[in-house]
Amino acid sequence: MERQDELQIIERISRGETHLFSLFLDRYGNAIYSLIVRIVVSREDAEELVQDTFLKAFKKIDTFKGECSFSTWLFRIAYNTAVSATRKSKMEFPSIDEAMIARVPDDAPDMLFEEDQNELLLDRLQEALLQLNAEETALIALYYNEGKSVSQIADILSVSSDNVKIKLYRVRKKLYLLINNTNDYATR
Amino acid sequence: MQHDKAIIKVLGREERPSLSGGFNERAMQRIYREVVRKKRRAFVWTVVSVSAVSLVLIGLAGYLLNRYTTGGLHIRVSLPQFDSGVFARYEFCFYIALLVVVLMGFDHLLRGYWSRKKIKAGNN
Repeated sequence: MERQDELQIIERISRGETHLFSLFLDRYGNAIYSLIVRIVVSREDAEELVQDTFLKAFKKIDTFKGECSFSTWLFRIAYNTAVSATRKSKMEFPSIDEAMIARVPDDAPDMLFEEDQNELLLDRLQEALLQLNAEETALIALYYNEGKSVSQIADILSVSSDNVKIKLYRVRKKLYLLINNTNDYATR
Repeated sequence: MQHDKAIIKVLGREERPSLSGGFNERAMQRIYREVVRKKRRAFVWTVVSVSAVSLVLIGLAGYLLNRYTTGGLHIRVSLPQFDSGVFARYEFCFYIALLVVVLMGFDHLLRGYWSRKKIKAGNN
């Protein structure tokens, strides 16, 4: 579905052809679910939040002016919905001292994450990924899982591209610390 | 950063989750319910606003009528007068024609504005 087609469909939905909205559910439902399930972990909650996301999108569809792609707009709603759900449920995540993160050399995560044959490292990385907070998990999922570019992520998170790069570098350093010395650095 | 093979591999190890069967139907049902709610809200809003405006107009008319009948109201509307020629005979038509020209100009401006906005949205 091209962008122009999507705009036409949106216009028809705004004019009352509600059934056309199912095209967007078919096209983006699983991608949105994949992002939300990573953030909130529970599959049942994630399905509910996907419904909330699409309902919000439907309610606000008149406000979509095509400044960004429809998928970016939808991901932005999904991200905000999922993050506010985690805030409401008061989920706790380990926090790491910012000074510790700043002390990690810039190239240390590069070298560590280039290695993809070490099963022990991969297992520890999997555990470390579960300890990231909602915003960090979303960042990782959007960049590595959904293959979104830095500028697309910037649109989704409503921040600048530079800010996204900084956040990504910071998350990688946090993962590096969690992998290398989980028990020493992580505090609940 | 894009070549963080370990992160990509770990994320790829997990099966990509997919929505349960019938999810789209359930979601569409919720959307249809929202459409009904929206229509009901719009109807209630229209009734309330029309009632409010009607009440204000009735009140205003009553007030003016009361002032007029008690002699406390003096209305003077000054319009340009045409004493001779064609305008004198077709004065009423002149006002209507003027109004039509003004409204057509306004319509032209609005159409231009909306089409420019549409093209801009399409280009994005």
